[in-house]
Parts: sequence; structure tokens; C-alpha cells
Amino acid sequence: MSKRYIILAIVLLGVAFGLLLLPNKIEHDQINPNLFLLEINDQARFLETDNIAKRLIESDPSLLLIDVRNEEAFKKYSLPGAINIPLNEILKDQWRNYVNQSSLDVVFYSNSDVIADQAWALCAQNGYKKVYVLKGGLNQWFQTIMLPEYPSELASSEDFDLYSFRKAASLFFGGSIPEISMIVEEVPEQQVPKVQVKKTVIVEKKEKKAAEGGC
Amino acid sequence: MLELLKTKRITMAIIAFVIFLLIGFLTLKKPIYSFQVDASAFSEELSSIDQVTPDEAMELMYDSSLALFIDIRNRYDFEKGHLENAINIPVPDLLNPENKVLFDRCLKDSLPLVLYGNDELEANAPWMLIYELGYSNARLLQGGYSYIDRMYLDQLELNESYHSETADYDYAGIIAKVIADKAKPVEIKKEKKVAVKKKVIVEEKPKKAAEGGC
Repeated sequence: MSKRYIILAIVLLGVAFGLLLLPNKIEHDQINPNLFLLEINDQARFLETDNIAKRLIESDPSLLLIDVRNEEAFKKYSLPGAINIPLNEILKDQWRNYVNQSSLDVVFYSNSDVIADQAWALCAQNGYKKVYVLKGGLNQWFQTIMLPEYPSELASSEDFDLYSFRKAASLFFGGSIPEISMIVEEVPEQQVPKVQVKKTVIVEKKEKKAAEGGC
Repeated sequence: MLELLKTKRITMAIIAFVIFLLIGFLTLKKPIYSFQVDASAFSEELSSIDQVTPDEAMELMYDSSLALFIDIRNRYDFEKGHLENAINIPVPDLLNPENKVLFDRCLKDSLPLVLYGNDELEANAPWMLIYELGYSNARLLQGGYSYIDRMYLDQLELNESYHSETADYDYAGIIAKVIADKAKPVEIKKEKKVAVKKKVIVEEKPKKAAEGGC
């Protein structure tokens, strides 16, 4: 056996051994912090209450609502079709198939949006896609959908359309009583007679025809 | 002769291989920021971390030896108004290498790093990121700049809380009340017809010709 072969073999074995003994990298499942920061800065994760209301009314199958509050709050009130995963369990194995998947849109909500955003951050940094936050949470839900504000006189027609949509949605979600319109017998206006010093003339009111212009 | 050639080639190949490995190791740069906290562990301690309340902030911000306030909003909002002694690091610039020196120094001195935005939500995710990068001295300002600003100007709404996660409405109560109201019989009002004699005094007005045309 040539000496060279032996020396070369020892060198290679030495290199292999050295690679084995390299300090173990702390393995985190998390993505690159800079990438995570980019996702944080991109506000696309926030969904509006109107959008979610519409999807719920249309029974959109691609929507999955997740209530991240504690069990007690969830039992008292929750959005239709929502499941309850408290914040501290969000990364547990038993829920992984719900939060880490590629087909449904997972929307976190809480009373407001801070805890839901924390749930989002935990999931997004682990590389989960398709995770979103309900902007304003249940507080916003009630303020816009369940108890919508009647638009002021100065509002645009779009605002009125939005109000109609919200009013109908609140009926759907059980938030208001349907208004019953009734036919009421008409009451003619009472007019107070004026007293004049000179003549009193009773004149029939002639119908005025509206000026019909044509373009 | 053949024997010698083969040995030379193998030797050269091995030496080249080892040199490439060495070059790879020497040029390997350690990332500036890397996650130090496991996300699952963090998810469990999240709700128990004591954040900074507006009153605490009022006490801390006037003495820069007590805490460092970082305003994560954009430069324009910062210039319009910011907390006393706060520095501005907009969100996209948060992980710039030059900030590491600052963060490390605060961590070493155990100085709280208080991140704030316009509201708690804006600074929430940035705070989580900084905390998980190993800066356990990082905290979030509850209520954000907006709360303190309005508190100072006495413009807070009645019963407004800086705890963002309080329920503004009694959700279950509202729904229950609606269900109860639906069960009540509805009163229908009827109005009577009243015959009225009219006495109208009208001045004859000159009739204006109907103005048509476009």
C-alpha cells in the first residue's frame, strides 16, 4: 500500500470527523427575521368586517374563523361557524391541521384585534400561509354589522348602500328586529285659518302641473 | 507509471476538496439577528408579560435612564408629535444592523425597550419580533401614542380603557335582548280620519309660464 493513500485516507476521515463535531445549530422552525418583518409591514393580513359578513352570509366554504379568546368567552358568544383555539394553544400539534394548511383562509378574531394579531404573528413566523386577522375584532363587528350607524345626510350613496347591506346582515346574524311596515290611513293636513281685515276669499286650489321639461 | 498518475490525480482532488470546504467555512457569515425564543414557548407566556400602561409611560419617558421609547411609526407621524425622549425607528428599518448596538446595550443595562405605535395593534407584531430575537427587555405600550395624546388633551371618551381587549358591548346580552323583543306582540297604531273645513286665503299670483327647455 502506498503511503500516499494512507495519508489521504486519514485526511478525509479527519475532515468527516470534524464536520460531525460541528456545533449544533439551534433549530427553530421560524423563518428569517427579515422576511417576517416584511410580512409585518405588509398590512394585507387585516380583513374587514363587511367582507367577512358577506362571506358568512354566502356560506363561503373557504372561510375558517378561529376565536382566540378563552373558552368561557367563546361559550358566551361567538361568530357563526367559528372554532375556539385559545392563544396559548395556537401552535399545539392538535390544531396544526387547522392553522397550517393551504386551502382555507384562516381568520383569527378576538374582542379587539391585538390578541388575534398575536396569534397571526406566531403562525406567520412559523411560515404558515393563509392566516389573517379580523380588523377590530368583535367590537368592530358589533359596531359595524350588528348595530350599524345610520349615515348622515352628507353621506354618499355608497355609504347608504353599505348601511343597507349592514342592516340586512344584522338581521341575518340575529342582531335586530325586522321593521314591520304598516299602511296607515291618511290624515289630511289641518290648516289654521288666517283672519284678514279685508276680504276673505275662498279659492279652489288649482292643480299645478309640474313643468315638464324635455331634453 | 500509470500507478503514479492515478495517485497524483486523487491527491489533487482531495486537496482541492479540503480547500473548498475551508473557504466555505471561513466565508460563512453568522446572521445579525436570529430567533432566540421558541414560538411555542412564547405563545404560552405571552399573556402573562407585563406591558407598559399609559401612567407608567408618563413616569418613564422623562428620564432616559429609566427606559428607551422607540416610536415605530413613519417619520411624518413622529415629527407631528411623539413621546418625550422617544427615538424613531419605522417598522421597515427595525432590523437595520446599526440598531443592534442600541438593542444590545439596552439589554445589557436591563433598560426596558418600550415600543409604541399609534395604537397597541400597530406596535404589537414588531414588539413580538424584537422580544423573540432575544431582547426580553422589550415591552409594548398599551393604548399607544393615541391614548396618551388624548389623555393629555383631556379628549378621552367616557370609560375609555387602554386595555384594547375589553369588550365594548355585552355581546350575548344584546342578542338575548333582541330574541326577547322578537317574542313580544307588536303594537300597531291606527290613526283616525278627521274632516276639516278649510278656509284658505290666497292672493292671486301671476302665473309664471312654465319654463321648459334644456
